[in-house]
Amino acid sequence: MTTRHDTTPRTHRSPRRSMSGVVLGATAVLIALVWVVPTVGLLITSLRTKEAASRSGWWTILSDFAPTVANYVQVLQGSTTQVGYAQATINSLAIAVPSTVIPLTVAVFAAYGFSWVEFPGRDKLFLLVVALMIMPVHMALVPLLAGFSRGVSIGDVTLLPALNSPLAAVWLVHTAYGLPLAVYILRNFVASLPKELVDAARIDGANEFQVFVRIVFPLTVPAIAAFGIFQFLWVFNDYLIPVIFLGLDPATAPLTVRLADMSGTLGEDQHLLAAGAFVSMAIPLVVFFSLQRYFIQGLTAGAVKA
Amino acid sequence: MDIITRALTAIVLGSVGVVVAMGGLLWLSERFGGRRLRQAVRPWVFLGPLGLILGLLVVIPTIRTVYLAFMDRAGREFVGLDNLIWAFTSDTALTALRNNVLWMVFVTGLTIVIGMLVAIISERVRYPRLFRSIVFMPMAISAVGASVIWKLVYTYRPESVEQIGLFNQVMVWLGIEPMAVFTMAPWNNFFLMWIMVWVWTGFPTVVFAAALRTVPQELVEAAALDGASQPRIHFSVIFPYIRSTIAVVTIATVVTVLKVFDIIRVSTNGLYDTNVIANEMIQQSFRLLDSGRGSALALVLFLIIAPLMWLNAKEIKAQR
Repeated sequence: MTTRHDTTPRTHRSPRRSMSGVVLGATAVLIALVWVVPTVGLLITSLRTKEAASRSGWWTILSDFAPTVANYVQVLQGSTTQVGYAQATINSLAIAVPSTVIPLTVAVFAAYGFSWVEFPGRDKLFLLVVALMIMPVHMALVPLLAGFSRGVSIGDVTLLPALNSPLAAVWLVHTAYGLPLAVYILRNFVASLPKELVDAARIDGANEFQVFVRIVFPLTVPAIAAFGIFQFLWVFNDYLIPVIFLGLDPATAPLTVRLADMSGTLGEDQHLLAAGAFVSMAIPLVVFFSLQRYFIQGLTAGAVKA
Repeated sequence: MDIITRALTAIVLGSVGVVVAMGGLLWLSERFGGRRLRQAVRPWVFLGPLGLILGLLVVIPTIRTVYLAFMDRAGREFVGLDNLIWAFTSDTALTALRNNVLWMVFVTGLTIVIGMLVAIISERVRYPRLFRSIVFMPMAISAVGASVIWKLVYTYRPESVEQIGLFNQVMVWLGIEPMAVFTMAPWNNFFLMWIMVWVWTGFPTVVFAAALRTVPQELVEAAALDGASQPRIHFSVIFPYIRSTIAVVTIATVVTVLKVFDIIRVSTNGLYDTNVIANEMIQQSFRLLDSGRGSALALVLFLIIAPLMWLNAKEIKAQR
């Protein structure tokens, strides 16, 4: 069975194709241009001096272009009043890495539990978790922030102390709202592993820990990669959660918050803003280009019939 | 160096710490106790953390927000439906609601249509994967980054001066006066929506491209032999075949569009009648410190999303 999507019937190939082929090709080029040109424009702007950037559009560089990396240096270093993008990058990583590892860990355990551990109400519980997938974080922001900064108490009884680390708060929120998708992707994957493997290991006397660590977990790596990359990019590029939970503290601000801030205060300095934007896009673009396959797998996981 | 050490410590503690803790708990639970005990404990070890996190950080705070929607700005006195009435009658809230509806219709419509178009066209051009990658690339950058990119494109300079934004330069080349698009209500909304279309179209594109590949060639050829035209083949045979995929992608898009925040916050912060629910909710709760109204808006957002959540779960269940 062929799988290439080509609806041109074999009898109609030559004459029809050349005409519609030109139109299709032109449409494709137009779409590609609209999608690529703005980014290219920003990249060029980031390499221009302040005078050049405010004087003329980037498309004029064909006649005079004196590229400079000064904007990048300035933006990475920051100043006495503004935190540099280098530090913001570290902050972004400090947020994104645990916010990826923690939900992955919890989800892998849960996926195993939903697939290979029998208990009543298992399927209903799974559906409940999956339903939470589109729950918007906005529904919990106010109570979460209050709970993290003041702790949770009923009357005079303190149930949970205040969390001293805004960074850990961010990890927890990203974990909680990334878990339903993670559990969905991983559980579908783990459940599709051959039952014989698990049974054979159990008969051989392995306890659940060994089955989990030695057999199931290594086989789950592709699904872990798919969700992991998706979650990493999602968290790295997120703005809402850090801006709420890390507040206006410039020392811990990740790239998104830093860039948004700069856009608001230095909106006229396009050359600097462009450099800052590209610094913020560097890591995601590298991850994207090198691991595109896994990222797409993560996205299509829920949407296409296996 | 100090910053880096602190960051590294945080990363290691946060990630490795959790892995070790959970792994250790599992190891311990399997080591001790009789078979019965271990069998009873096992679901809790594997699913306990999930339940704990979701319960504490999703379920309970959501219930609390619903409660807060009926209380006053400080969350202390019961005010009944006042906040909800405000959410459906005040100018600010109504503008936001109107904009969300516009966003929902146009962004979803455009991204699905363009995404499907790109998915279909890409198979017939020279470099299908490159083409799709180009359209998909903006999904990798932040909405904040995308907003900065398009802010440059939309930049306004008076007619007497040279343009630095590509949009207004094209306008000038076409003999049209340059425009400060962000200030032109209500058209400014569409310029903002375009930013999201630019970012999000890649998602339907790659999912549809994968789905199109699952359509059996025989089905398509049979329709062609029956004399069906290209559009007819697509609408009567191919799209119904991947109906479920289209549904799930549409729902995911609608939900994402309803929550739009970054783009508006970075471009106009809701000024010039561009406000949306998420932005107004944040304003009310965290800037104006009115948790009653903010929670009411969040509740409205949730009530719009909830039926979509149910639909999505149904589609996913049907797929299995």
